[in-house]
Order: sequence, then C-alpha cells, then structure tokens
Amino acid sequence: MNINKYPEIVPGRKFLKEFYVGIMLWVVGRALQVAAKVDKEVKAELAKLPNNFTLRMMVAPEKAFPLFFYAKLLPSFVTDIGLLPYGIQMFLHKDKEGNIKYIGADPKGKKADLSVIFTSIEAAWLVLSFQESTATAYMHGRFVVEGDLPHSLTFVRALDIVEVFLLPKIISGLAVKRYPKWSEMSLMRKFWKRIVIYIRAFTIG
Amino acid sequence: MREVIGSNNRILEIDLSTKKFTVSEINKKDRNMYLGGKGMGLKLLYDRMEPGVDPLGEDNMIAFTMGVFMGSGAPCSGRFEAVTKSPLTGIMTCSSCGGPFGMALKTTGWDAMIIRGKASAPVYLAIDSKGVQFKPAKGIWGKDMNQAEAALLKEGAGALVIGQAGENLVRIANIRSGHRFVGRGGMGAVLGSKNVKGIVAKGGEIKIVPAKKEKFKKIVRRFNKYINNNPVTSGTYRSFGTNSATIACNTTGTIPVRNFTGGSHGEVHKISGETMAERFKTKWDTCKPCTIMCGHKGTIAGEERHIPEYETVHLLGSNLEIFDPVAVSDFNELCSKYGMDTISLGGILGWAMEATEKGLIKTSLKFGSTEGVADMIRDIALCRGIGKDLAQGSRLAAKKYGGEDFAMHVKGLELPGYEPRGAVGHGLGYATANRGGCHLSSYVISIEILFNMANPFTPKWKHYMVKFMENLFAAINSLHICQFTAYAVMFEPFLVKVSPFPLLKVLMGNMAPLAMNLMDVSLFPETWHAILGKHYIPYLGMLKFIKAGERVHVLERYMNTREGISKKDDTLPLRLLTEGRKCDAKEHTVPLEKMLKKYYKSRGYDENGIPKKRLLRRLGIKIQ
Amino acid sequence: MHIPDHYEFLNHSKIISGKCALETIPAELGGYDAQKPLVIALKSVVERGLKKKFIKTFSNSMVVLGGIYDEVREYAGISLAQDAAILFKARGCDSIIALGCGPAVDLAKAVNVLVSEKIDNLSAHYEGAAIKGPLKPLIVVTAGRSNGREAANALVVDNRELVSDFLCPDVFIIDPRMTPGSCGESVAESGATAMAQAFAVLTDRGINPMTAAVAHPAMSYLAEYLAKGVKRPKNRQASVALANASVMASAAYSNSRPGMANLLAGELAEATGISAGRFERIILPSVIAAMLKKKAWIEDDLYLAAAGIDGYAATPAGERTQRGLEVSLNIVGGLKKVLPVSLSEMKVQKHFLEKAAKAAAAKSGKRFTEAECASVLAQAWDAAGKVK
Repeated sequence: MNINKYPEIVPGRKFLKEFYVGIMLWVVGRALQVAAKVDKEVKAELAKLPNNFTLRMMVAPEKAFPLFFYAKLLPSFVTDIGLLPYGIQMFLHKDKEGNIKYIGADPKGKKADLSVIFTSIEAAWLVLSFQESTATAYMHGRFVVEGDLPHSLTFVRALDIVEVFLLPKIISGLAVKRYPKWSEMSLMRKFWKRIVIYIRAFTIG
Repeated sequence: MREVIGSNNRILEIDLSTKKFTVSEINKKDRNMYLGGKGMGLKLLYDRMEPGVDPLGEDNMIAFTMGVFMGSGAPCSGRFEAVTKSPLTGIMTCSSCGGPFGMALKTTGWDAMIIRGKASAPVYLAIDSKGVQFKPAKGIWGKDMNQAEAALLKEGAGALVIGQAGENLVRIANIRSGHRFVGRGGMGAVLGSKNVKGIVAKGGEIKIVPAKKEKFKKIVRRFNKYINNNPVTSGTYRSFGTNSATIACNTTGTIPVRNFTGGSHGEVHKISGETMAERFKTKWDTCKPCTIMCGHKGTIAGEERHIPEYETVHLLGSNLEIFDPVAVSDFNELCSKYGMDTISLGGILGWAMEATEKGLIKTSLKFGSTEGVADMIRDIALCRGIGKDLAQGSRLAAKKYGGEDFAMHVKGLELPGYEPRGAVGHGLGYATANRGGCHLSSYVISIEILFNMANPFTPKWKHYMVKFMENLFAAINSLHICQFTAYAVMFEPFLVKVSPFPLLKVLMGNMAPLAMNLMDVSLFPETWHAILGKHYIPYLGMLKFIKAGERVHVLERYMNTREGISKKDDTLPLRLLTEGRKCDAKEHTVPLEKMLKKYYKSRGYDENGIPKKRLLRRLGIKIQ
Repeated sequence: MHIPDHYEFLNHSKIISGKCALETIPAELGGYDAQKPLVIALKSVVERGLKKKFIKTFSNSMVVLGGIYDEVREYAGISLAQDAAILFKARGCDSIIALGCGPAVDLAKAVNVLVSEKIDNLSAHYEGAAIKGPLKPLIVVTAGRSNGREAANALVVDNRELVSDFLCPDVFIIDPRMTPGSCGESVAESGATAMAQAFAVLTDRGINPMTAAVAHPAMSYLAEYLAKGVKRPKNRQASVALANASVMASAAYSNSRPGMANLLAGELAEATGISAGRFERIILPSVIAAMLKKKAWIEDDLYLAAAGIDGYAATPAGERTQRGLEVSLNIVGGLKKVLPVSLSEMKVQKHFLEKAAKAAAAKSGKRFTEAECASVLAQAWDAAGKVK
C-alpha cells in the first residue's frame, strides 16, 4: 500500500476571524478597565471579585499554531495585540487596591485565577460577533470556564453592562441576556458612558 | 440413412418428473429471427420458463440446441450450445461446447432438446430418432467422468456426462462431451439437481444436406482459404493452441497474477503455449469438424493428456503463482475427472488463498505453492470440509466468510484469464457480458492487445467495440460456428487485407463505428442462407445477421433483468476499479462508469441498464 | 408503566448535534488526550466535496490529521482495514474519526480493534476471543446513508459480526454541514432503516424504559421530518433531525431484539446484494398490516411517539394500539415515490423468499413462525400492505 496517497494534513488558519477576535478581546479588556473606573454599577459588580485576581479570556488552543517554537524570538509588541504566538488571549488584572487593569495578551509570568476559554475560533467568532448571546453560548458549550463559577458570573454581568454601553441596542440586544429597561439605565447615562469609554479605551485607558 | 435438406427443426421436450416427452417444431419465424444455437435456446426458454425459479429446483429447464451449421460440413461447425438458468449466477447462462454429442444429437434427428422436472431416482437418457428412454443410472452414479462417459458411449455416438461435482450440486460443475466441456455457469449442477447422470444420443440416423450444394461448396472453399491465410487461426492457434496468447498478454500486463494483483510475471514463459508444445510434443486433438485446430494433446508425466487451454493455464497457474505446467495439467485432469469449470475453480482458489492470507479462512493454501491444491480441488468436488462452501462459488463463499472486495467475479461468474486494467475495453466487456464475467461475450482484448489495433487504456469508442463484438459473437454462437473463425472472416477479406495497418489502427481508434462496419462478415450469413436454401441479398443480409445477434443479446439481457439484473450488477470487482497493477507504475484502473453510460445509450437501454420498450419492439421481442 | 424484571441498556456515546458541532472535535479529542486522528472517510462523501469543509473546521487547532483514508465504498472488508491500520501506525495517530455512516463506521471500528489490540486480522475475534480493553477514541461524523449500526456495540466487517461493549463510538457529531443527503433515495433508505428499528423497539414485548425513551424521540422525528427530508434532501433542519433519529434508533435497537421486518430484510439483502433499507421499506407495511389484522398488543408508546401528545390524548385508550400502527404505516407510506413498494417491482427471485422466511424464523428465537414470515413476504410481493 502506498501511504503517500493519503498525505498528512495540517489544517490552516482563519486569519480574518483571528484578527477580528483578537481586536474584540482587546476592546473588551480595555473597555472593562475603563468602565470599572467610570461606571459605578460596573465598579460595584467587579468589586465582588477578590483583590490580586487575574482573569483570562482565551481561544483554544493555548499555543497558537504553527509559530509556537519561535514565539520567544519575536519582539514583545507582536504578542501584545494577542494575535500570534500564544493563541488569542486577553488578561485582566485586579490589583491589591482593587483597580482593574488590562495587562495585555502575553501569558508569560502570569497566573490566571479564572479562565474563560472559547473551545475554538469558530465558537469565539459566534460569541464575539453577537450571533449567540453569552448565556446561549455557554449552553451550547462554546466556552468553558476554569476557576470559581461565581466569579465568572460576576464577570459576565459586568461584561453585559459594558456591552450595553458599547453597542447599539440592535446588536447588544442579541448579546446580552436581557436588555436593561429605561428605568434601569437612562439614555443620558448610556450615551455619555459610551462616548467616554470609547475615547478612554483607545487613549489613556 | 435418411437425408434432410437444410435443417430438421425438431425439438425434443423431456419432462423428467412424469418421464414423458413431447416433440415440437421450430417455427420459421423463430428460425429467421434467432437463427439457432444460442439464440434458439434462449428463445425456447423465454417462451417456456417463468422468471424467479430456483436454478437447482424442479422448475428450471436446460436446453441443448444445435445450429444450422452442425452436420452440414461447414468448417469449424462441430459446436452446440447449452442454455439454462445458472445456479452460480442466478441468471441465464449459455455455454458452447465442441464435443461429439452435438453431432450425435443432430444426426439422430433433433435440433434442440429441453429438459425440465426432476427424476425421482438417478437416470440417464438414451435418445434416438423416435424419442427418449429413461434408464436407471445405478451403475454409473457416483462414478467419475471418464468411467461414466465410457459406459454411456456403448449406447451411442455421443454422450454428455456429469462428474461427482455435478452430482454433489457444486455450483461450478460442468458437463463433458468427449474431451470438450459445457463449462461455465454450473450446468453440471443443473443436470445433477435433476438426477440426470448423462445423456447419450445414438447418432448417424440422418444426414444433413445443404439446400444449395454448389454455392455451399464455393463458400466453404473461401472460408477455408481465409482460415488458412490468417496468421492467428492458421499460425499460432494451430501450432500452440489458445495458450499462444500468453507471451503477448504478459508483456502488456494482462494476465492474472496472484488473484489479479500483478498483471505480469517473470516466470510466465514456463507455462506458455510455445514451451508446452516443445516440452510435451503436442499433437492435434480438436472438435470435429475443425479447420483451425487449436486443441492439442501431448505426453505429460508419462501419459497422454489434453494440453490445458489458455484460461486453465492462467487461472490455475499464474493466478495462483504456480508456474509448473505439469502441476497445472494435474489440476486440469482432476477437474476433467470430477467435472468442474477450471476458470471458476481458479478464481475460487485465488480467493481462498488470499482469504487465508488475510485470516478470513483457515486452509493450507498459499500463493506460489502447489501444496494442498489438489486436495482442495477434491474437497470442493466432493463437498468436504471448507470445500463445501467454496463449491458454492466465490460470490457465496465471500458472502459467508468475507473478502467480497477481492472475490474476482462479475454477477457471480469468476473472471477469466485476462486482466482488464491493461485493456479497459475488455473490462467493459466483462461488466456487460450477459452471463457474468465472460471473455467470449465480446473479446475486445483481441482488438486492443492481440491485433494491437486500439489503445488499450483509453475508453474512447470502447463501448461501440463491445457492442459490435457482442452482437457479432451472439450471432456466430447462434449459427453455430467456432468463435475463432471470426478473426479470419473479419481480417482476411480484400478491403481489410489491402489497407495499410497504420490506417486501420487510426480508423479503429478514432472512427470505430466506421471501421467496424466496413468489416465484411458476410461469409457467415451467406453460409447460413446456402444451407437453408434461402436467397441471400449482399450487405442487407449481413445487416440482418448482425441484427439477429443484437436480438439474441438483448433477449438474454431482458431475461436477466426479469431476474433482477440492472446497472448495479454491471460492475467489476472493486480491485479492478480502484487499485493499480503491481507491474504498472501509472496504476491504471478501469474507467467503467464513463464507458458504461455510453454503452447503455448506444445499446438503447435506460440509465439503469434495462432495455427500453422501444428497443424490444424494434427487435421484435415480445414483452412479457 | 410496565416494569421489566430485568433489563440492561448500554450506550456510552456523547452526541453533539447542531451548528458548529464539527468545531468541537479538537476539544473532544483533547478530552481523550489525543491530537492526531486518522480520518476514515466514505468515498461518496469525499466526492460530494465535504472533505474540504471537514478539513476547514480544524483550522486554528492543534489537531493534525494523520491522513484521510477515503477508500471506503459500499463494502467494508479486512483488506481496507489492514491498509488503514498501516497508515495509522506509520503516521503515529492516536485516535480515529469516521467521516460518514455505514461502512465507514464499521471499518473505523475494525481499524480501532486492529491498532488497539495490536493484531493483524480479526480471525481470533471471529472465533470468540473477547476484546480485552478500551480502544482508541472513535469519533463519528454522520454523513451519507446509514446502515443502522452506527451507535451499536457491534461491527460488521466482511459480513461477519463482532460484538463488544468497547465498540460503541465515543462521540457522534451531527453537523448540518455534513448531514444533507445526496439524493432522496439515500435519505429514504436511511429513514426506512431507522423507522424499522424504532418500530421494532417500540413494538417489542421486551421493551424497557431506556430503549423506549431513546426510540421515542427517534419515532417522533421520523414522523415529523421523514417526508420532508425525502422531498428536500438538502434541507438542513430535516437532515439533522433524521440523522438524530438514525443515531437514536440504532442506539435503542442495539439494546433490543430484532423485529420481523429487520430479520426478513436482512436475509433478503444478503441473498440479493441490495441494501437492507429498501427491503425494510417494502416489508414494514406488510408487517404492520399483519399486526393490524391480528390485533396484536403493543405499548401505547408507539402512538404517543408518532402522533404527539395531542393526538394521543384525544384518542380513547382502547384504540391507541390500532391508531399507532396506522400512523406508522403512513410514515412508511411517505417513501413510496422514491423507493420501490413491492418485492415484485424489485425483481427479487421468488425462490429466495422461502429461504428468507425460514432463516428469519430460525433467528427470531421462536417469536415468529416460518408461516407468519412467509405470509408477510407473500403480501410484500405485490405490495398488499398499501397505505390508506
């Protein structure tokens, strides 16, 4: 039998989806950092997390194929946007004082207390392109959580509020479990926070 | 002795259950449409037999039919046809034989004989011009073919006998007449299931005289000239027999090696016709009458034996990787003693060897080793041990033990000794042959390899070649004359003879319909007309003759479709469609699907391989 | 509900069905600590162009496909299994994915036995040796025509059956990208097989709560989606429903006793070489007609599953058995335009029927007599079990 007729297949990559998911994780991380500073509700929610706590959002597998052997040779700014060698990920750290900070995409020397891991790039795409809400996605097994479940619920609640701030109703309605009523969030607050969070997320943080 | 002009036209119908017989006549219309031989046999059974009967049951019938040529003195006309529903394939099977029984039955005054029912105890049938006597076969039942035939020949000029294999309902059992056999499809088992050990015909009661004597003489002279001029019929076949094709087939990779995996082998020269002729000092030993003289006998292992034919040599030799001609001849002798088809047996043994290798069955058989082969042949014939399952044919054995992917059969009939991956048109011929894996249905390999007139690897026009040859051979088998005469008749007439070979090759490769229709085969219908005293119109008579062949072929196909045959059965063993041969670096396979589609279209079948009503109406076949 | 004195139920397959189900394979393999599967694919599936789609779903994962062995056609034989096992070892694979149903799954199971037990052929197991330990992880991606043996704890290679609890596949992936059928005929054949299996389970006297629970949704799906799936084989919703029904029916059936339709169809398929699904479609109506005539007792479950709770509740308790059979007859009747309806139309040789009836009666463990089987076949000969 000629085994060369059946070659080994190394699957390719979906660069566009990778790029989109990478950007989205960066935006979510930065937006959470800003929202924790500017919005009371988010701050109160995240205050439930213990201090000195690291959260990781990641798309499996951890080692991104195929560059992981050469990852150490690359300059750190390449890894910072979370695209190449370490798989697509994002770290959020709550320090001793209770400040939330986005601390980049490089996992070197970081120990995560809570990991939210999307099972595949396609799963991350479904969630982050708002085709499935966070709750539905969890039901469909699009991501798994490693760490304390209450902490992850806290994180999801905070994320929901940030999504409402960031996105128009037509999109965020798909992403969150229940869109807040006017009585819960005034238009004024929503639009003002939206502007502030966008500006600070892309500038001073 | 009574003289009969043309043809006797009498049919003897024997019912074994009631031990009675009736006599009927072949009507003129049937004679014109189906000629005789194969066509007549099929037509007789088509009118009488229901579809769906058990081949080994009481309701199955077997017909022995003689053609118009038999007894007239036409060259190579010593052949008759047997037609029945095969226990091996479950569909119609026709087999041609050159033994003395045909001439004996014809000169007893019968053109056809149909046997139905089942005798309550073993009998043999003694036939004379008045009818048939049912005689108890006590003394010969259980005897081998040699003894049984010797006993029966005391009562007549020609006999048909079955061996122990036929008695034990081995599905590859054959019937013997002289040193010739009604080989394929398990006809011996059909006779065995009817409790008939043998049939003997008195012979010499009538004499056939052609109606137009002078014309007939002229035609025979031309016929003999063609046969004696053709390099195949008068050269290689006459000197070395059918096995003379071995070397040509080996160089082109078209012999079966190791259960159809190889294609060619370095030791094949040891079993070639040329080597055997030299080593065994062969002499002629042929059907009667014959002009080609392809049958030979010689001294093997101290005794006079018939030299194995090409198919026997390759199925029981190279296919098992055995290249010892004496061993092959031993196996051949065993087969003719017990009464089994050597082609099917070779296919089954090839399967058994590979199945043993793959752990599906446990036997002592091994490729390349003669050890245990003779014992296994005896076991199969006598249905002992695993031989009982192998005796059911490779299809049923593979169903039971597995290994259907390397059971080399089509529709249940094991493949003959040509490897179709080196000649794809021949592969199409195997797939579409009515009785199953049969090389004689179209024999396109003669055009592709032996005469080297078409590229053997391209599917181009192969559907047309197969169709044309099928029609021609069906017609020839209905006359009935030896198929080998076709080479002489096709290639010796003036037009083909004077054309330069490269031109013929280009024509055949690119414009096959034109090339094949230019071939003048009018000698066959002319002879037929001369014997029956009919007026022959040049060219139109030939077209009518080819159309009769088409009618016979389509009738057989139609009868088979009533038994459930359709496109799903017109296929080849998986190995030929997916694997390359070992000798072939390019790993050619048979592009069957492409050719089959065109073939159905040119034949007038629907896409499922069933003859369309329009086609049946055009050919005058009554739809049942 | 009836409580059996004793029952057993085995099915350890995880079923992942729905959108993006294929993308979960790397994660599932990860769960078994495997990352280099050998793919054993049906030729027909590959020819339909599904291979590309399949490979694409592994993008951005650490999984490397050790090779796609796509030589599997209608017949699963040991030669193919041996070739695939050579490929498996040469590439250092650690798991198997079967892409396609029927022979591909049988063959994948056989390869799994060969490579896990480190043997050359299955002859020892055919003679009765047990499979010793757990095998390599086996993932089945359903596509193409099912033979009703996918979820079973058995494999049939070279027409010989091998049963072991280790042979159950570990994961079933039912993805709408893979399930759509190539033609109505193949969908109808799979549907007929699933229908015959679910019917056999739900009408068996030895029914147990688990087989009933698994066969119930299978029957409901078939009732709702079979006609639609046959009419529009490319319809994703229907094809996913039918693939689910197939897997469930085969899981339930492997824990139950074969029905008359299954046995007879199996015998005829073996004699003629035509797939059993076609015979099941023909014989099932005759079996149902015979049951209707005999007024045989069966559980109400059949009617509940086939007609839904509304129809069930609206029917008096005494009529539910009868109505259940009638509804089943209608479901099978939905296939009449694509598959032949009588044995005579299939041109089955008559002498096979007698032998099939005899063999089926012998295999049924005295549940059916030869005469019953023969009368069912006689009815099926000219499609007596016509749909109302």
